Amino acid sequence: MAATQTSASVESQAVVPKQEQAEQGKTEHGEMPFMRFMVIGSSLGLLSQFLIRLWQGEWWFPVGLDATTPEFATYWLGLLYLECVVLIAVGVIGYLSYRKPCAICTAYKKELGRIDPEHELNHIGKLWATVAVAAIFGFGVSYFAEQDASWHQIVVRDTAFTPSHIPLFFYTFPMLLIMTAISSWYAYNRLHHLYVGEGGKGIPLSYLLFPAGGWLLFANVAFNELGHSSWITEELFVQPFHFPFAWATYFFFAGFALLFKTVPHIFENLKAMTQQETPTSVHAS
Amino acid sequence: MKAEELTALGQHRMAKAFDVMLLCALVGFFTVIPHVSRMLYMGDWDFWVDWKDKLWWPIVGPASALLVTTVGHYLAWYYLRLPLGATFAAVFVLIGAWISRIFSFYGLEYYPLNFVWPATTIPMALALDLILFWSRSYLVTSFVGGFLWGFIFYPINWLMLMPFLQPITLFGKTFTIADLMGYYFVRPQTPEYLRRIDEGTLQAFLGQRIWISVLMAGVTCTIVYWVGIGIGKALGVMPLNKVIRQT
Repeated sequence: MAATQTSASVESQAVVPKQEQAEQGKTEHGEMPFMRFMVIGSSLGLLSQFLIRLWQGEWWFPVGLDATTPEFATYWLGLLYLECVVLIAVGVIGYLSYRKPCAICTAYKKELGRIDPEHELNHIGKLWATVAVAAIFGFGVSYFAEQDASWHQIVVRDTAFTPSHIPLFFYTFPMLLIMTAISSWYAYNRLHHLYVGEGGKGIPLSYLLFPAGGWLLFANVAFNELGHSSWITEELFVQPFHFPFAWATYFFFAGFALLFKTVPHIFENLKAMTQQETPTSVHAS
Repeated sequence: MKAEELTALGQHRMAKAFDVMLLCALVGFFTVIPHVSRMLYMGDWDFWVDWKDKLWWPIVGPASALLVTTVGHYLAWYYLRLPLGATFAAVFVLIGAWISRIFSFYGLEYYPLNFVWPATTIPMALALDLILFWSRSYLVTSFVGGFLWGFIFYPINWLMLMPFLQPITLFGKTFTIADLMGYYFVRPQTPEYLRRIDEGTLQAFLGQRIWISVLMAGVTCTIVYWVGIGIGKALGVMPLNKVIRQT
C-alpha cells in the first residue's frame, strides 16, 4: 500500500532506495526494525546482567571482600570501567541516532501532507521497543537491589564500590536512566506531532516524568553513598536515605502516559493499512 | 471505532508485535517498581522469618505491598479495562523476590530458603481485582477489597509461617524456632535490640492479639488503596494530555 501511495518525488528523496534498505536489514526510514531492536536490546540486556551475576559468583568471595587489595581493583574496578564504557557508548549512540527528525517523515509531509501509516507505525513501534528494553534493565535493578540488601547483612559497610554496588549503581540504574531518556528523546524527535499536534510547541509532561525516575535514582545513589560514607546510619535497614529509591521508581508509571498517548494513532494507522484509506495520521492533539 | 473493528485490527501482525512489547514492558516495570517499593518499606519484615511477628509484619507488610499493586490495578482498569493489574503486579513482584532469594540470599550468602521466604500477596490481589470487576467501583473496592487485603494477609501467610512458630526451650528460655534461626544467622545490619522482634507487652493477650493487628491492617489498607490510586492518577494518567508550553 505504501508503494502505491508514495509519490515518486518522495521516493526520490528517500535516503536509500527500498530494495537496498531491505538488503541492509533496515526499514525505509533507515532505522533498525523495531522488533529486531527489541530482541537485540532485550537479549543484550539480559545477557549482560546474567554474565555479571556469574562474575559475582566466581569472584565475590575470593577477591571481593577487601577493597584495598590490587586483585579487587583488577576484577571489580575493571568491571566498573567496562560498565562505564558501555554506558557512554549506549548514551552517545542513542543521542546521535535520534537527534534529528526523520527525513522520510519530513518528505512525506512536504509532498503528501501526511505520513505513510506503516512508516508512522514503525516509529511508534520503535518507541515501544525502547520502553520494553528499559524494562529489561528494570528487572536487573529489582534483582541487584535486593542482592545488595542481602550482601549488607553479611558484611559491615565497605566502600561505595562493592561487588553488589557495581552492577546496581553503576550499570542497571544508569542504563535504566539512559534507556528511559532515549525513549523520551525518540518521541521528541520522531513522534512529537502525536503529543503536541502538528506544528505545536511545548514539552509533554510524560517526556519529563518518565526519565525523571532514573535521574532521581542516580541522584539518590550519590546522596546515599555520601551519607553512608560520612555518617553511621546502619541502625535499621529501612533508613530515610533509602525511601527516595522507592519514590523514584514511581515515576516510571509515566511510561503509561507516554505509550498510551500513541494507542489511538496505532489503531488509526492499522485501519488505514488494512482498509487502504487515506489515513488521518497527522493530528492535532 | 466500534469494538468489533478494534478486535479485528488487534489481529493484525503489527498489533500483535505491540502486544509483545507492551507485555515485556509491563513485566519489567511491574517487577522493579513494586519490588523496590516492597524491599524498602517491608524490608526486613519480608526478608527474615524471625521478623514475621504479630504486631508490625501484619500491618506494615500488606500496606507496603498494596501501595504499588494498587497502581497497577488502577492503570490496568483505566487504560485496558482489564481486572488483572493487581494480580499481575503481585505475581511478578513475587517472581522477582524469589529470584533474589534463590540467587542472592541462598546462592551467594547461603541463608537457607526457609529462613528468607517472601510473603505472598497473590490471593489478596485476586480478591482486589475480582471485587473491582464485580462492583465497577473504586469506592466499594477500597472498602471491601482493600480491607480484605490487610485482613487476610496474615492468615494466608500463616500457612507458611506456622511451622516456625513452634515453641522450643533452650538454656532455660522459651522462644520460637524462627527466633532460634535468627540467633544462629547473625546479621550485621540487624542490631541486638531488634533480635527479638515479637515483643512482650501484647503476649498477654495470647492468641487474640493477632486479630487486633489484622483489623488495623484492614483499616490501614483501605486508606493505602487511595494513596495508590492517587499515585496512579498523578503519574500514569495526568501526564497523558499535559504539555508544558512556553509562555
